[in-house]
Amino acid sequence: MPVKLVPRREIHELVRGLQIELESYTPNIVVCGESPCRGFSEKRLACVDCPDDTRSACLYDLRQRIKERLNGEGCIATTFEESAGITYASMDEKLVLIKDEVDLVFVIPTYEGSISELSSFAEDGRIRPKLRVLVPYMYHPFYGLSSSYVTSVYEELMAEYGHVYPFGLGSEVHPDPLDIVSTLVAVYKRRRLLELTRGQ
Amino acid sequence: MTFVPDINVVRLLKALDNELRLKIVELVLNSSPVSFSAVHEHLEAETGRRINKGTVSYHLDILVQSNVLSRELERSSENKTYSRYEVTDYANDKIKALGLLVSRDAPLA
Repeated sequence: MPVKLVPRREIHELVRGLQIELESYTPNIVVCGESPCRGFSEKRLACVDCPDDTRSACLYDLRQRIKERLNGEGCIATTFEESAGITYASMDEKLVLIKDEVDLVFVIPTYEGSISELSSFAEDGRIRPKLRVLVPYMYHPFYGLSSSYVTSVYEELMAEYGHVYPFGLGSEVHPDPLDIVSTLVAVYKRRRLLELTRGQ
Repeated sequence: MTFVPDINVVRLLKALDNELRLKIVELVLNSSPVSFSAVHEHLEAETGRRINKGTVSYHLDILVQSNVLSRELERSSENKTYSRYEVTDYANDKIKALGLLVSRDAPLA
């Protein structure tokens, strides 16, 4: 006999109760950025073709590591993977990101196309509050010398909404992106748990 | 044996806390393994509306990341990649332990 699962509302209540009992909110997070090694060739963070000696500095690899870290910290983290014949258009990504169930969207822009995409996300009031942008420090308005279009996009986003964080890979001065993500998510989880326990 | 909930159980339940993902898991529970196309067709048939492939992929990824489904990639002779999905043993056990299964013919409370 075919099997069926209980109605969603029962599962929803179960999730709510368990999160309060365990004192831990489980956020749904999407990590956006460029697909494997296309186009980003800035010297310090080169990932074109991803040779072994720059593997640790590859931003695609970074996106995967962020996803793994978050999934290990009690979140449900996903990325838009262009695999199994599925190619995500920017519009497809927006359809996902506007969903109420998506709590946070981490974006690591890696080339001009993804900067345009970020602008498009930031213009959407349903996505903007969820955005957390991670930027190699040399492109961050406060920490780099870049006066490019890319930096001006970050500047506008930062001035209007904040949440543009500089990172360094192997830098002694700038924080590691994985640590930034963990901190931001931990604070978000605490706030949402508080809302849950207050019945909001 | 007493059932002790933990964060991974919450992740599993949270993944199921969505109408489309519930339909996907029901499909896979009833006819495993299932291809991406079969999931896509099933969702469109069940909901009676067009569903973007990117949306299907997102929901499948949520189910994989939360250990509800496992994904196997297969390569065809034309070098195209296909995904096949199955319910994990972990999810099977938890779904039963939490009493989330009902038979299709059973009256709903």
